[in-house]
Amino acid sequence: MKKIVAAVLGLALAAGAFAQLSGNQTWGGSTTVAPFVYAAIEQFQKDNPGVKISYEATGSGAGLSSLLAGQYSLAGSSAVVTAEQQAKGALPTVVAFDGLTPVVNKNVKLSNISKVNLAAVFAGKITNWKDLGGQDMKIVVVNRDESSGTYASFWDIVCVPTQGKARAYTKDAIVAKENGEVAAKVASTPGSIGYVGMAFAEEVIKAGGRSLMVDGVKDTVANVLSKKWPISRELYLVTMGVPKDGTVEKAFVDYLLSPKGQAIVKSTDFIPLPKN
Amino acid sequence: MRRRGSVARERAAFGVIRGLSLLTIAILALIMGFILYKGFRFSNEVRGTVLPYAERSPDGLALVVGGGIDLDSLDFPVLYGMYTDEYINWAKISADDFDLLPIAIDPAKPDGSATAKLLFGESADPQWGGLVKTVPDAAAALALLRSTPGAAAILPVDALRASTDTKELRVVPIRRLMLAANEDVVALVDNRSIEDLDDAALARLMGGAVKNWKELGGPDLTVKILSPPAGSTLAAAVASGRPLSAAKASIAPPSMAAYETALSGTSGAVGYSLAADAQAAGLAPLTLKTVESGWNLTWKYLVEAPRLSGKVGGISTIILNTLLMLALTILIAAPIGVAAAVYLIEYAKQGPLIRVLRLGTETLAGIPSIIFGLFGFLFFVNILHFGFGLLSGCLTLTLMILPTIVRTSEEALKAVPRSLREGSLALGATKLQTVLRVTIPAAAPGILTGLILGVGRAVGETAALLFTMGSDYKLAKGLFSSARVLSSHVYLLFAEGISFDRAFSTATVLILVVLVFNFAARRLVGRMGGVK
Amino acid sequence: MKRRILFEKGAEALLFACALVSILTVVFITVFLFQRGLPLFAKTSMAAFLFGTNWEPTAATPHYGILSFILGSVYVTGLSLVFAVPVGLSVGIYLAELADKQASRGIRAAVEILAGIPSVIYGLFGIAIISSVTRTLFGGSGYSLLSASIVLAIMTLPTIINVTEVSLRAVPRELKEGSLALGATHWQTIVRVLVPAARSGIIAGVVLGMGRAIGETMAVLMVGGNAPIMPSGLTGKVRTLTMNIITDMSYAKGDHLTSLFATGIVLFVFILALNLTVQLALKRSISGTEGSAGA
Repeated sequence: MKKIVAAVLGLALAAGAFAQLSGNQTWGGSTTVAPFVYAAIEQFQKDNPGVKISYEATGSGAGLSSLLAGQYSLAGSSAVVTAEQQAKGALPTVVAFDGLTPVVNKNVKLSNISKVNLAAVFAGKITNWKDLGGQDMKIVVVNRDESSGTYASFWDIVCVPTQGKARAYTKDAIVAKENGEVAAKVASTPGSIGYVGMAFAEEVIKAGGRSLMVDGVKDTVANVLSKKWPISRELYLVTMGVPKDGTVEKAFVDYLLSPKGQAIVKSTDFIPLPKN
Repeated sequence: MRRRGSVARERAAFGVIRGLSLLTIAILALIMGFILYKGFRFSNEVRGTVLPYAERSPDGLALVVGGGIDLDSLDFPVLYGMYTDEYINWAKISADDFDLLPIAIDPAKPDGSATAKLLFGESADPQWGGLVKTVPDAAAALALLRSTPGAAAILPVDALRASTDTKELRVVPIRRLMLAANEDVVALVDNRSIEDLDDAALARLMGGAVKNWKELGGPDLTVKILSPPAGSTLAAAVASGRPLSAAKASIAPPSMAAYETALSGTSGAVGYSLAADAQAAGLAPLTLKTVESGWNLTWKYLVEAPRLSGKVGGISTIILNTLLMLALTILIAAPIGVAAAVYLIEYAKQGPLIRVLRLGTETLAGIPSIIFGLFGFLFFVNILHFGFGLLSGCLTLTLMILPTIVRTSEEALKAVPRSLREGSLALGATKLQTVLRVTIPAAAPGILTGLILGVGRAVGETAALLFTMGSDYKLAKGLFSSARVLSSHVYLLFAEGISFDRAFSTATVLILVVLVFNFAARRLVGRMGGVK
Repeated sequence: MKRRILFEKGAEALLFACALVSILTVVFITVFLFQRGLPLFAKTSMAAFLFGTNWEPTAATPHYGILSFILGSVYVTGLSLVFAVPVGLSVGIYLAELADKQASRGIRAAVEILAGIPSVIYGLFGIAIISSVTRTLFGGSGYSLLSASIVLAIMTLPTIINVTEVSLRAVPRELKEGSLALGATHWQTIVRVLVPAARSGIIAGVVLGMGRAIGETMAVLMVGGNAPIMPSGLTGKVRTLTMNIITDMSYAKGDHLTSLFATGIVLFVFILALNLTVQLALKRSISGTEGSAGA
């Protein structure tokens, strides 16, 4: 009984109304946001039994173009929504933060790397660990595919200051399609380095890899919140225009921004918005 | 007369052929062995900060949960997270499907302030989460615990003992001891820092065998072990965790305050600390590394529905989705495929038409599944507006496996001796009767093999399905419902970095499903052969 | 009687319609691919597309050169056949001609299970075992042309074995008995009589296997390395045509998407050319053994 009362209260808080939501929804987009979006959808559907939502994790780019084409009514994105897309009606809402963590194979004898050197490694300018204070071993770069918002963010945040605006990742890199594949390849390939969303670093470590400090800062949630961690970004839910009251899209965006939604973000190892 | 040399050569050739044949079994054994092993057992390195010693009643308090929560003990950082809004349900803590309701006694009351001290240490201002429910006393907390399946409460042990009805409840021991070190121990030197400690390194360090931090990959500093002040909570906790108490102390501060000052003020210092105190005092914890192993693929994993992208729960709905997909695909593909083969073999006359038809089948067989995926995505999903779902996926699969079914059925029909057909026709049967009653039954084992090959391809297909069938891990509710199947679940668990262990477990189930199909089909083939 | 004939005719028409499904699908997919892919050549020349080695679809001035991927596909498929064909033929011969009941039952079961193992599982296996074995033996990162070929070889093996065995068994008994009666040894009979008689089937099997190899996506994606560069050798990273499509498919738009369809066309033309060659070869070789294989 208490549970039901709590659920109703939660719904009231989240949707701001007692309106009965229903209908089938097809959403999709970024794979990075998928873990907390899936979790939030599960919880949201528990509170709104009439709603059925499916989220197709196809990548930020695909999600945004499907949103603009009208196939999705809501998209997740880890990439910044461009002015051009916004002009067509896409409206991003920041729902969480994410840190990017450089990860290495455990045989790499190094705990820290500077942001400048990190950029040089991914631009292919530094190719041996001994130039960074490690052992004499070739660096195997593991990069993401171009579709990922993470691929774009990493260049923009890490490499632009020293390597220039135009993306010039080294081409001699293993290309992995998703965060998990980066984790698997870094954990299994001696001398390798890659980058993953902070929430995925745990899986790299489980598989036997390690995360690196950057400029002497550890990749902790606290450091991202306090802006000490040098590689962090915003994650978005994108809708077409301002969603109307009483729609599932509006209710869901509000739900994710509510304390409960932000707790879901936290529970999936992403970083909630600062309380203000 | 044969020459001896040629006999020997033939023997050698047969030997090589035999060896290569056995190689296929060896390859299979290797693949199956590896996947099954990884599917059933997991063994992971886990990094954390707390030592593996759990207290039932830290500071005279106890963590109490409902009997439905499957939990043996809990790390302090998780407990801390429960009371600071890091979790909203038990899924990530104990894999139970209850919403979490953390209960604490009003911090203004004495019992409540003890709870605050346990969680947040002596000095910090408490960071209570918004989900925490405060109650006036232990009795109220117990009442709430009994009525709410996902509730957890921190209560005084005395109050718990005094209560008459605690059968339905469970006390969960807490691990909160850790190793704290001076800042300069964990500092970076030449971009390197101290390694994570495994059990052996930990034993050597606290046994006094490590003289310099250099030996553990840290900076060039002498190790100084602090012993907790006598009579303190910390000393009691360390003393009761017997295997840990062998620390060879070189410094023994008189009070807790002095102990913490010594830790943060002495170069190279290390000592036990309670997690809450270390957090409050800003001490640097040493990272510990342990290997966790156990059973992966349990009955529970098969019968529970997946939650949180499959990070917790099982794969029941995904297995059902897979079976639905196979049934639907075979339902569409088998009649068309066999009929096409019958036409090609029994009816069509050699000529340009049949050549075109054959070329069509063979070309279709060669088309990469990814192109079917691209085609299905644009045609079925977008142009015909079927959306991501079972129907789009199964139609795409049908196109993919059709050639396999047609080709093998053709080969099987070809292999039926001409005399059988001629006998039937001579007895006055029509062509269609001959085909239905004589030729197809005779070719049935071969046709079935084709269907099995087709199903094998369908059940394992991922590339074409990801973009047509969708990835919703709930049970499909209709033809247009997005549905995740075993193969895409394996890939997504792996690729999205949800869990490699679970990817292997699901892979094992996938292989077992394939095996069951094979076995059933072989039995079927055997029976038919018997009838013939 | 008339109704019966009508029924027979109706059934034949239905069967014919089913036989048409494959060819219609092929025509449909072909038209679809070309319609979506050809517009690329309004933006970039066909030569630059086919012979360029610079793949930068999202750069400010995009380049769509896929030569590295064409060669990647060719190398990987070719190398996998080098491994798979000898083994596949041998096992097929063993099963059809040499094995006693028990051995053949075991091997056939193994082959069937190998055929059933999904490609994504081959991928997992490739990442964990094959890439580390090739890394230890031959160096490099382990995600390479060699690893991808080995995985593909294992994957195509069942197809080649199955079809070889079926076609050997389909050779009429009289041919074999005749050869043996003329004093040929078992080995001579296999090599000179049975295999040539079953040639059409065996070639079809290899083509089927090749089709699976060239079209395989997930497994090679997981072990190939996927770098968009020319493979630098056996241990170099490789990206094939299929990998190129799946890597970019989820997000490509505009000319980029068109270029992926164009990549699909190349793949498609490849397979078509392959099939035509084989069809021609079969036609020539069949004339000798028409009586046996034609029935």
